[in-house]
Amino acid sequence: MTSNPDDSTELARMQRWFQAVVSHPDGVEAGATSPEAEAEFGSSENPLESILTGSSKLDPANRIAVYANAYFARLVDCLGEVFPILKRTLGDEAFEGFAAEYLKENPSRSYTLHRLGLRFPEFLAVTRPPREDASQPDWADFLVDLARFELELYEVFDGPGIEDGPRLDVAQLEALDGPAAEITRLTPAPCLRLVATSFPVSEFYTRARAAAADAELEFPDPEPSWVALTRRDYVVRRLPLAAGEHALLKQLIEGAAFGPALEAAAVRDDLDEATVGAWFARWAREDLFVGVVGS
Amino acid sequence: MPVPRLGLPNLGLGVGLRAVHYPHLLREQPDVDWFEIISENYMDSRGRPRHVLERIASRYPVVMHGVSLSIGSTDPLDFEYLARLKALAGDIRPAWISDHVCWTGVAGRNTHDLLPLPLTEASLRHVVSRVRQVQDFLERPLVLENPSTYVGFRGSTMPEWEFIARMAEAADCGLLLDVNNVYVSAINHEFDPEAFIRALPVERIVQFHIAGHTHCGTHLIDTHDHPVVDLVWSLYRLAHALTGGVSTLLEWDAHIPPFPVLHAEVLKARAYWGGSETATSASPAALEVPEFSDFGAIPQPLHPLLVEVQ
Repeated sequence: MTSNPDDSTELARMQRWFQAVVSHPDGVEAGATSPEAEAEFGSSENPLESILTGSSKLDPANRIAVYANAYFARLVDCLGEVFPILKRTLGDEAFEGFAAEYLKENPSRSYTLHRLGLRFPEFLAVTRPPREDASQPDWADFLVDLARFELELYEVFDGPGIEDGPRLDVAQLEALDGPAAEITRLTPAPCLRLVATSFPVSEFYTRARAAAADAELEFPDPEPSWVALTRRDYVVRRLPLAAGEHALLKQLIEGAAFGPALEAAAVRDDLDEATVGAWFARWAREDLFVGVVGS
Repeated sequence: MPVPRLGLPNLGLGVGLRAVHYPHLLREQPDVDWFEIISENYMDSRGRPRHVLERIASRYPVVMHGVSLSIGSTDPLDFEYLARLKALAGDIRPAWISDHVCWTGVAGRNTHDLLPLPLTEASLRHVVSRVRQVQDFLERPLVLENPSTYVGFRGSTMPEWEFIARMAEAADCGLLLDVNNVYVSAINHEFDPEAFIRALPVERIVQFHIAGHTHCGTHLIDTHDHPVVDLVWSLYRLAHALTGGVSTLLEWDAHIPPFPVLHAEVLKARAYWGGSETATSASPAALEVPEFSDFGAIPQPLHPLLVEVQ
C-alpha cells in the first residue's frame, strides 16, 4: 500500500481549510469565509454545512467551534505558564489580549509548546505604545523587562545545568594570576544568564509571588538592575549584581581573557581587592564558572 | 495473525507522570505498576523533568506517549522530531511508543490539538504509509490511539472503527484503545461505542486509556479532569474481556488530585476485570445525565512545565 499524491492533495486541501477555520481569531464563521479557507474549496453559501456533519444536538459550526475555542485558549494558557507573574501583573483579560495578538502573528511551528513564548518579549517590545517621555522608561518597558526575565527563568529551569558536571572553586579563581591570566578564559556554567533591566524586576518578581492572589501589584519605579540566573539542584537561583560585577561577568562570559578583563574593570569601576575577592567567593559559591581554558 | 499485544507485556495499572507529583514520587516511591510520559515534555529537557524521568525510569516501566507526531498530516514527517523521540527512547528504554490517529497542523504550523481526519480510503492510505515510515525510522512498532473527536466530514466513507482496524492491519502497528475517547466520540457522533470496540483487532490492542471528561450538555469534551464515569468503566469491562487484559493507564491532566487519589482511581479497574463480553449498557441511549455543563472546557492535550525558582 502506498500513499497516493493526488489523494493526499485533496487531504492537504481539507487540512489547510480546517486549520484556517479553527485558528481564525474571529471564530469559525469568519474562518470559513476567510481567503485562506476559500482558497481551498472556493466560496459557498454555507461552507461549514457543505463540508462538515452535524449531530442531532449540534450543527457543524458549533461542532468545529470546539476546536476553534480550544485553539487560542490552549495556547494562551500555555503562555500563562511561561509568564505567570506577567499574567498576574496584567490581569487575566489584558494578558489574554496580548497573548492572542502575539499568537496571531506567531503561531506555533514547533513540535513542542516549550518554544511557544520565545518571541513574546520581543513582540511586546515591538508593539508597545510610544513613550510619553523618550528619555525615561515607562510601564511598557517594565512589562517587556518582566517578560524577558520570566522567559530566562523558564529556559534556565529546563535547559542544561551543572548538577552532574565540574565546578570551579574559589582557590582556582584566586590562582588565576600572573602571565597565565593574560590568556586564561573562564568557561561559564551552561545555566548562567545575565539579565539587565531598566526596572528592579527580580525584586518585583519576589514581591508578586508572595502577594495574595487578589492583591493589587504596583509597578516599581525605574531603576537599572542586574541579576545573574543560575541553577542548583534543578531550582533556578537569582543573584542580584552590582553594576561593575555585571559588567565584568558579561565580559568574561563573552570570552574576554581573565587578566585584561579584571584590569579593565578595576580601572573602570575603581575596584579594591576586597570587593573583587568577595565577588570571586560568590561566583565560586554559586558555581557560575565550571572551568578554565588556556591557563 | 500477530501474537496478543504484538508480544508487548501487560504492564498492569499505570498513571501519567505529571510534574505536580514529582516530589511525592521521589519521596515516597509508591508501589505503582508503570508510568506513561508525554514524550514532548522530556525530549528536550535538560532540567528537573528529565532528571525525574531518569529516576522514574530506573525504578518503574515507562511508556512514551506523544502528542505531536501528527501522523495524519499532509506535511512531510518531521524527522528532527522523530530523531529526538528516538534518542529519548534510547535513553529511557520505554516499553513502547504511542501517539494518536490524528493530525496536529499543516503548512508548517502546529495547533497542538488532536485534529480529526476525513475517514476516507485516501486518508487511510496516507496514514498507513506514514506509520510504516515512522516504524522503520524508530525501529519498533508504533502504537496509535483513537482520539476524541467533535466533528465529522461529509466526505468520510467509513466509520472510525473500520478506519482504525484497517490501519492497524495494513501498517502492522499496535493500538492504544482509549475507552473514554470511544465513549466521548460515540456520544458526539451518535454511534454505538460497543460496536466500535468489538470491531477492533483485539490482538493488536497493546494498551487502554481511561479518563474523565466534561459534559457540555450537547456534547462531551475529553478534558482528563474528572474521575472515570460508570459508563466508561462498563466499556472498559468489555474491552478487558475481549482482550484478556492489557496495560491500563489513567489520564488526569487538569485539576490533578494528590497522587494517592489518582492512583486509587486507576486501581478501581480491578473491579471490572473478569466481566463478560455481553452488552454493557453504555449505548448512546444510556447517555449519562450531566451534573453540570462547561462550555469553556478545553480538550486535552495540555502539558505545562512547572518552573521552580528560589
